[in-house]
Amino acid sequence: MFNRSAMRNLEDFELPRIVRLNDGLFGASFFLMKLLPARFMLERGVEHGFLKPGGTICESSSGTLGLALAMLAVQYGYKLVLVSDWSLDRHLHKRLVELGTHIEIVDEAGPGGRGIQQRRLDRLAEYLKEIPDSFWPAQYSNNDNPLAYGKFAEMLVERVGKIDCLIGPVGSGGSMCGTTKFLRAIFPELHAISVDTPNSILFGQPAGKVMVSGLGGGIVPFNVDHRQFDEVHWLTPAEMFQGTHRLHQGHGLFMGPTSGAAYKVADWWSRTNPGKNVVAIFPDEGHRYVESVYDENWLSSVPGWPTSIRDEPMMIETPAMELTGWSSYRWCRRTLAEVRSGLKDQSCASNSKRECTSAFSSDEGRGAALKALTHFDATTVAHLELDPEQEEFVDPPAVVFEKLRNSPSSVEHAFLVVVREQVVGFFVLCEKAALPAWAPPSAITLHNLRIGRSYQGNGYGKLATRLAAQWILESRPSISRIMVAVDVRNIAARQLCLSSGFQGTGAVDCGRVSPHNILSIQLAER
Amino acid sequence: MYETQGNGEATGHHGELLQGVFEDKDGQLHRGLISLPCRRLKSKATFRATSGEKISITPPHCQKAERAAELAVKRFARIRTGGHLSIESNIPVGRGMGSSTADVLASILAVLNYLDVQPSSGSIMQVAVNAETACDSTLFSQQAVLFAHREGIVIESFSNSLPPIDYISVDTAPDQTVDTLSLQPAQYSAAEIETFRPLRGLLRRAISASDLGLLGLVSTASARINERFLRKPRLHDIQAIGVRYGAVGIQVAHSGTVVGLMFDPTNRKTAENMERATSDLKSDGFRPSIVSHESELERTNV
Repeated sequence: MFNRSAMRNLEDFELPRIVRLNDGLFGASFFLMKLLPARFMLERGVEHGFLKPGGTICESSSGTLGLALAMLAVQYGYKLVLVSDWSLDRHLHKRLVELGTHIEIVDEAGPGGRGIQQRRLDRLAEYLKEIPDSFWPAQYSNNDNPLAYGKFAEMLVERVGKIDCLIGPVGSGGSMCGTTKFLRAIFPELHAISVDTPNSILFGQPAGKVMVSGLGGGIVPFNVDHRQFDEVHWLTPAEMFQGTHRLHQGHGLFMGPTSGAAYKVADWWSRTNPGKNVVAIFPDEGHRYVESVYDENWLSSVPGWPTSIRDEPMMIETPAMELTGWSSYRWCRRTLAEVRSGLKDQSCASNSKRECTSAFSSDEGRGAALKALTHFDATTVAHLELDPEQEEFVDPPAVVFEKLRNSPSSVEHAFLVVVREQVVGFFVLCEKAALPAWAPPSAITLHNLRIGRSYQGNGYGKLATRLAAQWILESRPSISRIMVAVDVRNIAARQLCLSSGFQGTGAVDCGRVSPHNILSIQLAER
Repeated sequence: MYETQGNGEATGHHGELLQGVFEDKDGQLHRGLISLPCRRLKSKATFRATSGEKISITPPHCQKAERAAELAVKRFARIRTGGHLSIESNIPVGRGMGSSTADVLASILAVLNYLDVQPSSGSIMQVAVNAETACDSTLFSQQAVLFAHREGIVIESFSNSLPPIDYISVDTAPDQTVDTLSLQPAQYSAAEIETFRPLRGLLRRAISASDLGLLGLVSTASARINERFLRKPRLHDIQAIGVRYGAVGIQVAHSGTVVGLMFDPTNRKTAENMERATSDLKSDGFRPSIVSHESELERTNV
C-alpha cells in the first residue's frame, strides 16, 4: 500500500528555525521554504507515476520554487526547464544556470494582449508537449503543495505546543492553507490571517501593479483555499519594508519583505491578544533584497517611504475598495465568491442561514462550476483518490493524462468539477475525431468520470453530468446527445448514470476487459 | 535444568491514544499506534512441560496463544519440548482492548520463563506478530512507543513514559463484538497520512512534558480521523458530556467498541467531574465505568 520514494538529501534545509520574538510570538524563519513543497511534489510525482527516472521537470517560476527544484534536480538526476520572465532576479538567474537549469525568459510583448503569466504557461505547455517524460509540478494547483506542510505543522506543535494564531503571506496558497488545515485538525479554533498587498487579486482587490515578489499575480491559484482564513490584511510595499527592517533591527533576522509583512501583522495581533501563541511564517532570507529593500537609496524611491506608514490596520467593509495603507478585513472562512457576493458566514452574521439557503438552490449558488484543464494538468486531479473496488474501473490520472497529452485539445476536453473552491471531481468529454467507435457523430461522450472518495455521497456525480450537459448546450449547440459506456460489472457507476438522467440504449460495446453498456441522455431539442 | 513450569503475564489496554500511518527514519510509511495501557486488565499464562513435542491449551479457543507458544518454543528452545498452556484472563473480548494480544504475549512470556531465556522485546514482538498478524505496544511499559502493530517494530521511542491518565470507559456497542482480524486495515487518504505528522509531533511534546491536555488533543483528533473506518455510535454525545465536565479529550479503540473520556488526575476537581460525567452518561443510556489512575496502581501493587 505504501510505496514512497524518498528524496531527503536536502531535508535539513526544509524546515525553519523557530525564533521566539516576544511573549507568545514565534517566527518560523525559513532558509528556502519552497524546498519543502518542491521535494514533496517530486516524491509524490514519482508515486503517482508522473515523474520517471531521469525525466525532465518543467515549471513556470521566477522565484524560489525554481531554485528549490533546481537544487533537487541536481541531487536526484532530473533535468529542469524553467519558463520565467524579466522579474527573475539576476543573481538567482546565475545560480540557476550554474545548477544546469534550462531557463527561458518570456518577454512581455505577447500577441493578442495575453498577460505575461498566461504567456509563460503557453510556452510551458509547448515544452511539456515536446519533451517526453516531462513532469509539471504545477505548484498553483497541485494538491501535494499544501500537503507538504504536514511536516512543518509537526515541527510547530512540537516546539510551540498549543497554537492560537497563524499568520503568513499567501502566494501559491500552499504554506498558509496547508499548515492551517493541518493545525486545525488539532486546534479547530485556530485563527488564520493571510497577508497580502493592495492591487493583488488573491483576496478580491481590483487588479493592478504589484511590486513585491512572492505576492499577487493576475491568477487566483487553485491552492488558495479562501475558506481557511479568518482575517486578511493588506500592507503597502513601504509598510512591508518597514516591517522587514524592524524584524532585522529588533530581532537580528535578515529576511525578505513578505516576512517583514507577516512580522508586522503578527506583532500587532500578538500585542492586541495577550496570552495567545502566535506563529508568523517567514518564507525566505534577505539576500535577494540587498540591493533593494535593504538599500537606503532604493528605498527612498518607494512611494510613501518612510512617512506614509500605518502602525495599525484600518478595518475595511469590502475588500474591493481602494487601499492606501495597512487594512484588514474579517474574511470569516468564506470562499472568494461568497465574499464578493456579500454572503455572510454564520459566525459573522445572524441572518446568514436564510441568505445561504436561497443562494444555494442553484449549482452556481452552491459554488459549483466546471473549470477547463490543459492536457498537462495531471497533478491537479491526483488527489481524487478512489476506493480500491472502484479503481478497477477507472484509469488512474497518470494513464488518463498520458493519453491526453498526445491528443488534440480541440476534440478532447478535460474538466474539473469545483465546489466551493475544492476540486471534487474530474471528467473528459470527447467529440468528433476523438469519439469512440460506438458513438454517432451527433454525440459527445463522457469519460474518466471520477469523484474523489472523500467528496462522494454529496450528489457530485449527478452534478458533474449536469455541468457537462450545460457546457454542451452552451458551447456545442449542434450536439444532441451525451453518451457514456459503463462496464457491466460496475453497478455503482450504472446506478449513478441512471439517476443522473442517462438511459440505456440497448447497445453493448465489447470493451478491453469486459462488456460495456452504452447509455445516453437526449439533450433538449432545438 | 529447566523448571517444569513457566509463568507469563501481559496487560490489556483501553484502545489507542493515536493510530494511523507514520514515517520511519528512512522515509518509509508504516501503520502504527500507541495504546492506552490498562494495567488491571491482565492475561496470565502458565506453561507446563510435558513429554513429546505437542502443545495443548485451555481454554481451547485460544488458538493464537497456542500457536504463539509453538513459535516461541521453535525459536528460543535449544531442545524441542511439548507442554500444556493454561490461560486466565479478565480482559473483555471483542472490545478492542487487546485480549487476544495479551493472551499471545502472556503465552510467549510463560514459555520464555520456562526456558529461562530473556530475548529482546523486538524478537518477542516478532513472534507475537507471526502468531497474530497484529499486536500492540503494551509490552513497552517503561517508555512510551509508537509501535508498528502489523510488523512488530518500534517506529519511535519517546523520551518518557505516558503521564498518569484517569478515564471513564464507555462501551458504545455492548451487544456487538469486533473481530479485529476480519477488519480491513483503514485506507487513509494522502491528506490523512500527512495529518498524522502534526499529531505525532504534539504526542512527542505531550509525553516529554507530561502534558495531558495536549495528549487529549492528540487522541481526540485521532478519534475523529478514524471515525470513518469504524464508527462509534453516539461518539458526539459522549464527547459533549466530556466537554461539559472538563475532560482533556476522548480516545477510542480503533479495532473495537470502547471509548474513553480522559481526565487529568492532577486536577483537584477531576474526581467530582468524573462522578458527574458518569451520572450524565448513565442518564443518557450509557453504562460507563470509572478507571482511575490510583485504582490502577493499587491493583498493580497487590
